[in-house]
Amino acid sequence: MSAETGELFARKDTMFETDEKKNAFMNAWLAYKELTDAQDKEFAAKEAEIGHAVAKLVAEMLGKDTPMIEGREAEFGRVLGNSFRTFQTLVPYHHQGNDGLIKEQLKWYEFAMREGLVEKIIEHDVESMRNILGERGGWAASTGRLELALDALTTPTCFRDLVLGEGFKLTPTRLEYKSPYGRVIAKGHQRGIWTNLTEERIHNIWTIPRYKGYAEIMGVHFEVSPWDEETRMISVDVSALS
Amino acid sequence: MDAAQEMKGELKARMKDTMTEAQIARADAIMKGWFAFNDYALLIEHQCTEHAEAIGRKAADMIAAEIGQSRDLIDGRDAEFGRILGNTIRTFQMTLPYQHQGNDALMKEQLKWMDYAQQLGRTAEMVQFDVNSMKEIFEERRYWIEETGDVSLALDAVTTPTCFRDLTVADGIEFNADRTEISYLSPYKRILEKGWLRNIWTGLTEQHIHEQWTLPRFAGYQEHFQVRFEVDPWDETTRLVRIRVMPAVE
Repeated sequence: MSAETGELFARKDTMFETDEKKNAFMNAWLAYKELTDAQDKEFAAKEAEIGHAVAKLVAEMLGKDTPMIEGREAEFGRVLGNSFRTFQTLVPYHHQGNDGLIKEQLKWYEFAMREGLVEKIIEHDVESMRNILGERGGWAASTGRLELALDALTTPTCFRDLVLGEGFKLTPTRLEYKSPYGRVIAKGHQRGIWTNLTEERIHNIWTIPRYKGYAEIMGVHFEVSPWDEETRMISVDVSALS
Repeated sequence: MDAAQEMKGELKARMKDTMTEAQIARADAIMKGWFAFNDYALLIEHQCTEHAEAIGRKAADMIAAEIGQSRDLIDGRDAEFGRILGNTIRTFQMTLPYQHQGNDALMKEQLKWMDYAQQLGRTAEMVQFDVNSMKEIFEERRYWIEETGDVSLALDAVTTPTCFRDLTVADGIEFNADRTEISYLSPYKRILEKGWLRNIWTGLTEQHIHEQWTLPRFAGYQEHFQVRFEVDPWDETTRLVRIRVMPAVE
């Protein structure tokens, strides 16, 4: 591990410098814990029932004849319970549905940046998608439907879950979404973690090269917008290789 | 001829050269199966997005009533909750090439990095990085344990974060009565096996993940809390991961 990475762990506590602050946070957390543990229990006892009722409600609102969860009521109920739990987590910041995934990514982006491994890991990431994206590129080519390349980028749960907080817009040739990392990075900085990361760096060092690598596999061109600190919006336009 | 048409012509010629008729037919059937799924999923998603706010509100009210709560459990974030519902229902429709679950994305993200660490021979180092990155948060919890004398707060600290809850959301978790023991089904098997078919993550198994990631991470975390985590050895039959917390010195 590099000296710089080692130094990360010698940092001092940055959020709670007095016992008064520590105790206030502890008491707030214990109150939150009591509330969510009780709620978890209520949920666990009825997860299948709640899953069924909510799936039925959504199906009715969408005009569907049957709930769309294929007999997986308890599993659906657990997702709902977990989402409710996440929504209750307001301390030290307002958690969203993509919180776990974002933190997992930030941890390893930080590691890769500190250790100078960014290029290698992007290569690894792109290579790991070669089989799937190669197939999708084939579909785009055999049908002449370029939107299938953008679909391949955005259909996986990895993308959909990442943009869950703010949503996204997709047309056949253009994708738009708000960079999802800002809120969590800002809180990390207060804790002295992910200090190498900014949304701009993630965009320039991770997002653009990965999307370019995916496009190359699929035999199309992705035009990714440059970073815009004001709007934090990212757009990707797909076109055929000229 | 435009570029897309040219690309189409080139691919068809290449397929004829490199694939048998049967292979082309199979690839075509897979593609059409996917299109059918995707059209349906997009339709549902479009409808959910259109009504996200109303769906979120009605579902939240219904759930609150079911669990006997009168307050607004989603804090007015109706559209955001509606998006989660829409996304989950969409994930549930994804049964090709395997039945997707709510933890699909997080698991894939983890598997990618675990595989990378293994290929580079840097697993131990990355585990240490993970352990170290939790130092400040977990040491804060150590203070709580010292103040309250409640060692279950250490297990709470490692199981409360969204990272853990999201990872185990498909099959759930179980605590004992005083919340000093947790058990859960290892979540990776289904995805790993599909990855192997695609020739990815081939160096990983659930046992490897348990022994090279789970055990050393908990061994590292316990130092931050000054408690002891006892993690059961890997059991290939049950695939159950069981973790107990106890004072460091008994």
